[in-house]
Amino acid sequence: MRLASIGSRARQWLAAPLLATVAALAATSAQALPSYARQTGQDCAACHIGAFGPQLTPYGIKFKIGGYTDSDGKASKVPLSGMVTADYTQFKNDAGESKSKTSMSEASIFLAGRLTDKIGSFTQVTYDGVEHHTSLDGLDLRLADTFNVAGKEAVIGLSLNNKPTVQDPFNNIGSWSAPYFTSHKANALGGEFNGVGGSEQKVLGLNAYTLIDNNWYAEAGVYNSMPTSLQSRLGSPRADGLAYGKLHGAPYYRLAYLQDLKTQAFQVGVFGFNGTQKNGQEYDDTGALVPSFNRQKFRDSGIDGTYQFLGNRQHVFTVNGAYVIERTTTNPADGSDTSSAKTKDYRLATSYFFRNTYGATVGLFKGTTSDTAAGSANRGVLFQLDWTPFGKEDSWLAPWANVRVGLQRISYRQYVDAGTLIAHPHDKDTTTLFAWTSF
Amino acid sequence: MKSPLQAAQLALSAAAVSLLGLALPAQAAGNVERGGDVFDAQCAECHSVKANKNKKGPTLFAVIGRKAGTVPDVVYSDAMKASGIVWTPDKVEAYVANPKGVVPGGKMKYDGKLNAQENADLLAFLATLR
Repeated sequence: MRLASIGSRARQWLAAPLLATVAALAATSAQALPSYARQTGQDCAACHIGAFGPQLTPYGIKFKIGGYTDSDGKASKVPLSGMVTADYTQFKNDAGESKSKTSMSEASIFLAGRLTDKIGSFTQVTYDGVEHHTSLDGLDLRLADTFNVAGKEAVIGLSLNNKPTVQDPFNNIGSWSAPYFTSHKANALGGEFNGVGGSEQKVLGLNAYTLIDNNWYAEAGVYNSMPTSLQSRLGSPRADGLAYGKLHGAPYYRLAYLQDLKTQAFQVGVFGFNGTQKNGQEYDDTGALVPSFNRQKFRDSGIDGTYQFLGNRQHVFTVNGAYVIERTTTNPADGSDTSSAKTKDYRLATSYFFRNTYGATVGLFKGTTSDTAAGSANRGVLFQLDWTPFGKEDSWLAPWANVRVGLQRISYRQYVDAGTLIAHPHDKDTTTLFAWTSF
Repeated sequence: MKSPLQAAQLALSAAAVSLLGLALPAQAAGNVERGGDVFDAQCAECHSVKANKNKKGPTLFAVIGRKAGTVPDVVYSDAMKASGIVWTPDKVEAYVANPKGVVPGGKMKYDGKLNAQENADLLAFLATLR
């Protein structure tokens, strides 16, 4: 990737979250877990649009809010699942030559399901088959219970997690933004952030949340950096030689409204994540860590919404949208002037599924930055056709396995790489044939 | 979700029910086909219509006339097992409208709202599951 060759610290500060996010996009592409189906006795299609994760139906949203603990009441369910993805991708290298790459992109194991009546887990350890690297990819450990408050049902819970938004129940922002599968060869897609995205796998957060009357959702949490040594042991990715700065008491909030009419559903919400990283470091030519910035303040805020036409599940139609803005202020370690930047991310995707088996998706994405000298930006469209033969009642191997096969095209209309406008943005296009299986 | 064969079976069953005059007044206006759609939209996440096929909830095959809490291999709440309910159309309608009201301490979480026509259609559909 070209960003690896950019020299200045300022560019590295921008490159770091970009790379982290690109890696995270590839690494967080899954939550379609047969262990949940085995636990509940339900089909994948009950919780997932298109019978495959991670896009959630209202039922799936409530299952996540309930702490992954809902079940059919039978004992002896083992909360373990696995996942393997593989893809064949056509792309152009930096010299503009057409190339292709086949890879076993990822293999994951999950501790996913009910641990006790009130405690459940979505914990994912992933082996990256391209980078040959293993990490604690996702952690969302929940405690949840249901209460009656003034005659209204209220689910109240806690989430311990390792990336802001992995715990979000609507699976429409941050870690769960569409597209849900991207090749390692795919280029940057949308805006790149220091907070949401950049902090993934480097922080631990404790979030308290409630869903009242199945409509109103509120959540507040606090994130702190894990010690660098722990990050290293857990395989947290290092982005372009930068270590994530120390983050203490970074607040996160989420408010949303959900309306589940059974034949259709919609959700609107806002969220925010603010923090100040201190003592950022980078690796110098000798491999030693040296200071890169004293303070870097970020303010992330976003708005999102979804609409789902579910009908009798023969024809399912969805629209998802999200807009996120990040404002950053950086005080360099060398005492040079404070710099500020504003990054924006726009996503809009619409999908159609026939019998939760045959899917077609069109998505628009756009990432912008106010840093025209060294920032990155992109704009384009995504097309995907996919086939999910299983995951329904009486499907072959249900509830033991599911698979999705898809063809995806990411096409750029504009691409700015660290301040440089790419003359032929289509050189960044990728076409991917992928297989994604879970068991 | 219904296969063509199942749809044909349902249509035949509905015709048989009508011909025999067994349809109850409350379900007289129910449409079996539409009732199947109501089932798919409102119930199928947790219930199957196939005999001996339980999901999170018990199969609804032959539910009309069945005593509550008696399907084998289903883990019922104590409240449901002790309810003494026999699933008549009226009882099903009342339960769907307010599960916790009819069986306090029961497990079913359904929170949808069916109008009178949807109720009639659903009950007409359930009556065919024999």
